[in-house]
This record gives sequence, structure tokens and C-alpha cells, in this order.
Amino acid sequence: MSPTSTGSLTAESLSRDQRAERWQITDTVYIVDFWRKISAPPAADPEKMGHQQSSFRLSNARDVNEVLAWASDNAAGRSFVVYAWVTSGGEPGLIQLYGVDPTVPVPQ
Amino acid sequence: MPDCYGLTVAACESAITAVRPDATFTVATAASDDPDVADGYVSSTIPVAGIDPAPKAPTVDKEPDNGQDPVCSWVINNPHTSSDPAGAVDVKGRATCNYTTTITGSLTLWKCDDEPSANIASLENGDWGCVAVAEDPVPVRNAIAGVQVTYQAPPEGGDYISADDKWFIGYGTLDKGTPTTAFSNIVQLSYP
Repeated sequence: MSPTSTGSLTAESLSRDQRAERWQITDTVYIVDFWRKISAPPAADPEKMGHQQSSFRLSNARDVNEVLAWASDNAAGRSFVVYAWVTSGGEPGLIQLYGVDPTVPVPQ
Repeated sequence: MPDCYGLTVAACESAITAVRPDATFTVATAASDDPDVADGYVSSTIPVAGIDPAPKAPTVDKEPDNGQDPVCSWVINNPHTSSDPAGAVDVKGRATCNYTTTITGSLTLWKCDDEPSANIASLENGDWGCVAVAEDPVPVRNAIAGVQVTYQAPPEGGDYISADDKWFIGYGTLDKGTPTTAFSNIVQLSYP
């Protein structure tokens, strides 16, 4: 199968050797961050208001679809970002799976 | 024999001739996997530094210039509040490096009475009623190529910074950063 592209996404077929791996996690723990734009107090500029974050850890999910469904059901109008939570070298870290953190400045 | 690792070739030769005035040198250009040795600096010597007696004609290896010094994108996210602890403000800075290397950075959260500008001299002068309310206490980090390193002010377990309808801006420096200094956007934060 030859490479295919949709927008900036590129899909390439992998050989068995290219698909090689050394480790895998199947009981994935997820982090869901909900984000809402803070309402402006009187006389404040709504465009200059920051965001509020609410974070949740999700365990025992069947797969990421179940996590996305939970996030959608509990978003209440907020945007959300989904991460896989992993530990490497004793330090916690996140692998972004879905969504965009609204506090990341957009390049001008 | 002096330890020449990371020195310039001239400095290495000077150090060697200080203990062996009649020494002569061969300077070879050789690629090294060590990202901490800058291009043009000594990556190794033959014989290895520290072994006596100092030979008369040591070989000094020089890192070639491959135009690929370690560089890291350096972005300061906008300060935000959290719901737990309720209304706590923090800011994050993220460095993503193209080589595995050691980086040294700083990240400061500024809280201001009035809307500030992104001017570090003015912030440090207290203009707009600005005060540095938090910083990341761990400047030196190990960065893995392609993996974001997160700085945070205040860090986990750090002081509670309240929003209070005030203005906030994050400022960070990174020795290998592109750019080496960066601001977040300026935001006003409150918590219901």
C-alpha cells in the first residue's frame, strides 16, 4: 500500500521490522483535562481572559473510545484534551491523544 | 596529561605543553555521538587524559562542524487556573530539543495589578504593580530528543497563587532555547 495523505496527515505502510517494539502498555491510564474560558468580570475584556483547567484520571477504560465518550458526556460545553499517562525513568509524563491545550500560544 | 574534554584545541595544546613543552600535536576531525561537545571543541585525546607519562606526540580529536548544535523550541504556555486547588494559578514552559542533552532554564510567574507589557525590565521594576509570585526551582533538566520537558511555576506542591481578577504573564529563559527568552501571552484570571 502506497503512502496516503489527508491534509497534513500522512499514512505509510510499515514492514514488520519497522513495526518492531520493545514495550507496550495495555492497561492505559488516561488524563482528561477540561478547559473553559473564564467569564469576564464587569468592564473586563473577554478576549483577554484566561482559561480554567479541571483534570481527571481515568482507569480501567476498555479503550480510548470509552474515554472520549466519557469526556464528551461530562464536557458541559468545555473543550477537552485526552492524554495517556505514563511513567518513564521514575518521572510522570503525558502522551497527547486528542484535543488541543488552549493555553499553548498560537504561533504568530 | 590534562583533561582536554570540551576545551578548544588551542587550550588543550596549551595545557599539554605546560607539562610537556616539547610536545607536538596531530589534530584530527572526528564525529562524536556526544551532544555535549560543541562543534570545534575537543571530544577526546589519544592517549586518554590522565594517563602518564605524557607522550611527546599526542593526537587530539576535534568535533567537526555539522551545523547541528542542540537546539530546543521554547514555548511558555498561558497562565491558567485549576479547579483543584480551586482557583490556583500556574504557568508551564515547554522545551523540545532535537538532541538528547542537558538544558538549563528558568520559569517565572508574574502577577500584576494592571495589564502589563511583555518587558522583563519593567516587570522587574514593579511597573503595573507586578510581582514575581512563583518560579520553577529546578533549572537543570535532562532532555530526550523530541520529548517535551515541562517547567512549571509554581511546581507541584508549591505555593497557592490566587487569581483575584489580576493579570498574569509567564517569562522563561532556556540556555539552548530558540528563542532563549520567551513570554506567555498576558491573561486576566479570576475564579468564581
